[in-house]
Amino acid sequence: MKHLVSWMRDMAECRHVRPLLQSYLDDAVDESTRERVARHVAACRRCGREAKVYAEIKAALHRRGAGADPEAVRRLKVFASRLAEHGDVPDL
Amino acid sequence: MRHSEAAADEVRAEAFTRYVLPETNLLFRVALTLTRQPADAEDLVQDTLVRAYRAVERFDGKHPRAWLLTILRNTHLNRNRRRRPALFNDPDHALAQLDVVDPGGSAEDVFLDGRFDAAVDAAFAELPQRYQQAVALVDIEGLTYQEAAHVLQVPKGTVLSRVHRARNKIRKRLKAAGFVRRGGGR
Repeated sequence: MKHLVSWMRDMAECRHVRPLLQSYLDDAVDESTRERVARHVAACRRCGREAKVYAEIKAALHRRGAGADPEAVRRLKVFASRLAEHGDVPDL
Repeated sequence: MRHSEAAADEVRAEAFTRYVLPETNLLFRVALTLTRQPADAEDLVQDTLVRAYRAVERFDGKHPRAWLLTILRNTHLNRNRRRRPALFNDPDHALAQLDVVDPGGSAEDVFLDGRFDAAVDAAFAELPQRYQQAVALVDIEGLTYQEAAHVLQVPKGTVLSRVHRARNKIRKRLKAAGFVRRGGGR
């Protein structure tokens, strides 16, 4: 009986935490929620693994950003510097 | 008179150098997300830089990134209006057509190898554009939900919903491709 009550309590916590996992990983929850989610994902294998999947997806997506053309960025920085130095504003 | 104009130019240049120049890289990456074409993105950022230069003397110095993203977004909208007036007011139906997030399921393991990023890329490419934009701004560019909402001109909750659903769709694709394994329970 004690195990059943404990299991139901854990399941209720899973249902509460799982919708918050992504916001937690995005650092978009308040402090008490962050602590609650962190505590739960450390203890719950299922939610911990789901959080890990989302974290790996986030990390893989972030790595895509490294592909921005550095030459285009360099040209834009030159353009911006020219604006700052000479106030050289072409007509739009 | 000439002296005061020179002083104003100096103030403008100083503010532009302080608030705008450090964000050039970010502006280009966000522009890429909006236009999806490097040449268009470069043009958009040039226009944005010129508009920022003209407006910087009226900028109060608070939240420069949000200020710049607003200029970028408005410049992008104006360019679209000029180019594609008939397409501009397309309603957003994509949200309602997407799967509901599945709260159930078993524990999952991620298989990380050299193909994982390629699989995420492929799943990302299959997302509707609105979802790509939201997840690109948050995960690739590192914007907050609020900053992304600013760029996309939608409520913060819409960004949150799009990002979460996008990642969930990617997770499902990874699972179907065998990168995420169903495992045991608690």
